[in-house]
Amino acid sequence: MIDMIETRAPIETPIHPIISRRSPGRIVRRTVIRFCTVYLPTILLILFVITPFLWMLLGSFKTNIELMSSQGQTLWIKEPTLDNYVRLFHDYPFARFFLNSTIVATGTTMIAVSFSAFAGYSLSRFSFPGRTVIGVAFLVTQMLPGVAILIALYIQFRDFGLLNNYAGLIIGYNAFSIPFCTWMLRGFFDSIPRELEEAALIDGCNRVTSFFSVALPLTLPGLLATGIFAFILAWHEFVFAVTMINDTKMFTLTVGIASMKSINIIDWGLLNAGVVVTTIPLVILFAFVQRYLIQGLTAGAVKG
Amino acid sequence: MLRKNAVAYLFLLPACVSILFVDFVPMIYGVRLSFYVKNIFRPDYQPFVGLQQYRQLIEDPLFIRSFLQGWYWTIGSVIGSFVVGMVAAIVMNQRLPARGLIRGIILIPWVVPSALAAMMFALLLTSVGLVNTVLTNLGVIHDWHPWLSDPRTAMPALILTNTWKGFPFFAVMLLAGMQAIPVELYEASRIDGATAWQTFWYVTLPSLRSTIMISTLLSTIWTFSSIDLIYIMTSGGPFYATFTLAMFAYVTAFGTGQMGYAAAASVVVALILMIFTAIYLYAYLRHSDA
Repeated sequence: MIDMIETRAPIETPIHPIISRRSPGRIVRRTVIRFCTVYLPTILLILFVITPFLWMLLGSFKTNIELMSSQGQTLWIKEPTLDNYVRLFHDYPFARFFLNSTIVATGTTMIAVSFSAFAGYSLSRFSFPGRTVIGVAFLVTQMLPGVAILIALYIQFRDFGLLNNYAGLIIGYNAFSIPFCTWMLRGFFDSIPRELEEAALIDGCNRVTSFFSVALPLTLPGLLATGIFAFILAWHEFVFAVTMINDTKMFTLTVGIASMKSINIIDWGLLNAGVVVTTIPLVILFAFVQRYLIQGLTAGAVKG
Repeated sequence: MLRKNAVAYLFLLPACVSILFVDFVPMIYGVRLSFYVKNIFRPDYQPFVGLQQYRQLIEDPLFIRSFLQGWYWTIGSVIGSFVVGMVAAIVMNQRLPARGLIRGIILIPWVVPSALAAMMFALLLTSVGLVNTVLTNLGVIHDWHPWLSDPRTAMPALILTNTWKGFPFFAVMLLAGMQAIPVELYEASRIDGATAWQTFWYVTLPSLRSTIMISTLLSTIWTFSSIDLIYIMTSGGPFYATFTLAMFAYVTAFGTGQMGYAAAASVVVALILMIFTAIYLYAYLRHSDA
């Protein structure tokens, strides 16, 4: 053993005849390369992402006259105004839109995560006839085009009186939430070592209690990540809501915002303010939540 | 046997019943619906016509056009999102100051609903919007251009918006894949004297093969069937220039009320996506090393 270590040859590091490793020229060249390949793309990416928001923010404080001026837009606001925001809250029931979205998203998340936790655990831990088929079925439902399901659901909802209410939206949103959440949670359950549950079984638990007392608490980060995901998906949803809901009082936030854009009259300032009011809070919330999301996503994705 | 697996089936029950009723049953109902002429404005006249509506679809020039434009929209969006997402993944993988903050900023478009992103870019692309202002000030164009009203530039404008919205998905997937690449591979390539580009092309990309495959497949499927952005930004116009197949199905159903015909169109969308998935997976497995 010892002589193996002794006889191992050191790795030769070639020394460039002209530019030694520490020379200033090489450092400058390395920094320039690093700037081009790392810093520049980073800055460009950040600009790409942020610029639309900044433009909206800027425009929301301009008057309509200034926004539509033929001289074009400048970074300097000639006549700053809060009028757009005043009109926004006066003309549109944002609180109501917000409430609707929250209720629907919360309802969807609670149902989707609980149903999917059970289903994901079953697919992960048990082996039973039909396991592969059912697993594939969950996967396939994610790939079904929404339009196909939408048409049939509209007709059925109309017949069952599920249009224009929360229940209809929550049921509909679970159509795409449950398959996705099951897939995610299955990945999380897969990453928990079986020995822990087997220890619980030996200690006298049955399958059900070991699920509640061992598996579930261990998957808490996964449940959280999945829940946040489901909530965001439901919050973002537009097409289903705009199809099933005609009553302005029941509009979700996305539908409410879209309703501000009519074909004939476009109130630029109002639209700018509307977009700002709905996106900036989301962005700020995301800033706090994103760390858990990325952790949850990458953990599930790598294992799965 | 049923007794032994009772718990397994019981656990599956709520989720399975749910997706049975809101995914599979509507799908089957949609297929059945495609064999009938059903117009919601004429509830009394609903004859069974078999495959006639499918034949109508094939001969419908708007359908053919929507099919082609659907792929234009999808391939453009997926490629755009993939390229930007790859750059973003590389950036997020670097050791940079304020790394967490940079990651958070880059992922912002993911948390913005498509509908809102659509509104935002619709405003940015107007005659007095950001795009026209910057381009005229830089001298790239002489006068403002109606991006969303010009049939030639409408779709590229939509693709740009979808790229902005969609690249974080690729960024996260690719980042996760990159972080799973063993460090030894990079060390070996460095010892062999590979340049950064060579390392990327011969080490990073091949290791990401399965991640790339699954993310591009999912993105293609979702983008092809999506209508959020298109509906809000152009409603399929101008003059059907941004009419994709999914838009065709939706507008036929809820615009003109021809539910049966639209059901046939959406069944075709589902079939196209299934065939695409099969071809894609076949090509992937065929060229797999394992």
